[in-house]
Amino acid sequence: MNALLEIQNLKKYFPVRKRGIFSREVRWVKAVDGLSFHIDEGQTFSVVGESGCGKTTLSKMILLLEEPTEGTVLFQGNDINRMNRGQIKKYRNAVQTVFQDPYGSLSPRLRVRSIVDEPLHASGLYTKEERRERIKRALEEVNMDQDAMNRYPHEFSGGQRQRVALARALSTRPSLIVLDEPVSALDVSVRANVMNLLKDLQEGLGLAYLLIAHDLATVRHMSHRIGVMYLGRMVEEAPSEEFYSQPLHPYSQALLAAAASRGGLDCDASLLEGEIPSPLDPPPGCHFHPRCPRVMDICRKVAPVSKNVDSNHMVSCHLY
Amino acid sequence: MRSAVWRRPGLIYVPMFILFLFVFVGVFGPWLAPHSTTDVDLSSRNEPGFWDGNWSNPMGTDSLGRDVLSRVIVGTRTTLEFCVLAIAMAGTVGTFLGLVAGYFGSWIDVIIMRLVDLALSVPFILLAMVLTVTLGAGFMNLVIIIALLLWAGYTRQVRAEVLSLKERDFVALAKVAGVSPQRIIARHIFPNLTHLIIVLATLQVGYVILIEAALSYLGVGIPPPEPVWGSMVSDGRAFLNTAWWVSTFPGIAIGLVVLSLNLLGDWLRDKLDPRLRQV
Repeated sequence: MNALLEIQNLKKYFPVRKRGIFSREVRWVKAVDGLSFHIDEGQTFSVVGESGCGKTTLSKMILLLEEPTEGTVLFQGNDINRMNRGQIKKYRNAVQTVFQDPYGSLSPRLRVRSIVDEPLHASGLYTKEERRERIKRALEEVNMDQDAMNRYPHEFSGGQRQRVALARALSTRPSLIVLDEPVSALDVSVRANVMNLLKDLQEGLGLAYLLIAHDLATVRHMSHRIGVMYLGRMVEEAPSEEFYSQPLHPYSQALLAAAASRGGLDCDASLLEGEIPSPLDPPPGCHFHPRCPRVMDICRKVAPVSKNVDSNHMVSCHLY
Repeated sequence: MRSAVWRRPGLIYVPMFILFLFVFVGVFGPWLAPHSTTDVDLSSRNEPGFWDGNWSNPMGTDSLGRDVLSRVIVGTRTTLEFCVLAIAMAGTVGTFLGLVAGYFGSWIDVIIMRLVDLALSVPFILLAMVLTVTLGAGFMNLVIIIALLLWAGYTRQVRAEVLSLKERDFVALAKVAGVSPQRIIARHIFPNLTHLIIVLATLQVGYVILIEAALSYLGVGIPPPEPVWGSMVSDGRAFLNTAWWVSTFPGIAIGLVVLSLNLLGDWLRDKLDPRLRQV
């Protein structure tokens, strides 16, 4: 069975020119450095990591906002960077997104109706009546009143705006929604509502999610699989329950310990020392070694290879 | 001090009223003027106005016996037409270029911005004089010349705003949805520019009036016998001691309108900006 979305050895390097007009020297920010994973239909794959680990770049490549430097993104077996225009239109319908900032995601001059309509209109695949029906249905699905249609974004709260953004994503009946930190900017009290809504929608509509987050606590009850990213690489990937009960990589362990120690509340700080290194100049060998509580000599020199500990559990660490 | 004055509620109605008057007189001018603006009556040159008991010419007459009040009134229309045309031209071209430069970037941006630099570094009065002499003075010629002065201001500010708008999430989301660049510009970028354009236009009207006045004063403005405030001020130069009213009344008109426009423009800028910043 084909996975819905398959990422194969995906890389994105950004060139940075050294200062000086005549300098030819180019250094690279390796935002995404060899990512491979897949998402099955109706499943939630959560990608967790600190800011700067490359999560957003990953989502941009999946959404066709950036081209990969290397590697492939396969959707239903098709390489998205080699699609013709017709296929791209279908892809854009099938893969939608919700961004983090509810205040910047909605165009201030457009009514909710037009905002939700935008992907429908752009695809050119629906008649006016069909679009109107879908907008109505989408608003229902996110538990918003029909009269929201004629209002402007500034009349709504953050949580409501995210629901509008979600309605927009749902309008085309996608198979996959990329959720880039969908609740990070919301009040803690509102987060549970939105996450529950997402879960209900997944069950009701068979949606797959790529859930990008920096906080392990929020994503727990929604994820089927968890992937942990560090400086552009996936250091561990496992089914959700296995991950939470037995994280293998020291970085995963630290993230989990931090989330747990705060009682499952949002927490960015980890029990690690130091900060995430600059992606322009990552530490040699295993990128994580300067902060690793179980660092060994080999970690400083040789980059670890991904190993499958179980059939489903991958980890990238010299300890295994 | 200026901000304290107009921030008091209701005080903005004063400049608004003045400007309303300006537009009203501009539209209905010719019917309101008591006398002809062009009939020369050499027997009643430089006569004082209402302070001397002369109610037939309340603002006095100029050196050719023409009624100053009528000329100020009809001059309002000329000034209004002039401003609207020049700013419409400059605003349309300037905004379009700013949009293109800001949204598409790369070499188009480079070319347009070099043109902007050129336009802004030209010594304007000199250019206006040269062009007037070579192309001939005339209403439309002067409108075009002044539009040439103004467009670059729009382009620069519009481009800056477009650059910042381009990075907003809702633009990225539109791209993800597959919306074409033209439609993104039309639906997402341009509507968020209107507040900027309105404020710019309002502030520029005052500038245009002053420039036209300066050019007329120098003799390269709209040619006679059209009543134009700037020329009227210039005409009365020689008689400032004796027939001071010839220059003073048109001068007051210029001052009032420009001041009102500046106050209105500042007020508009404050009124329109924070609301959008909150988004």
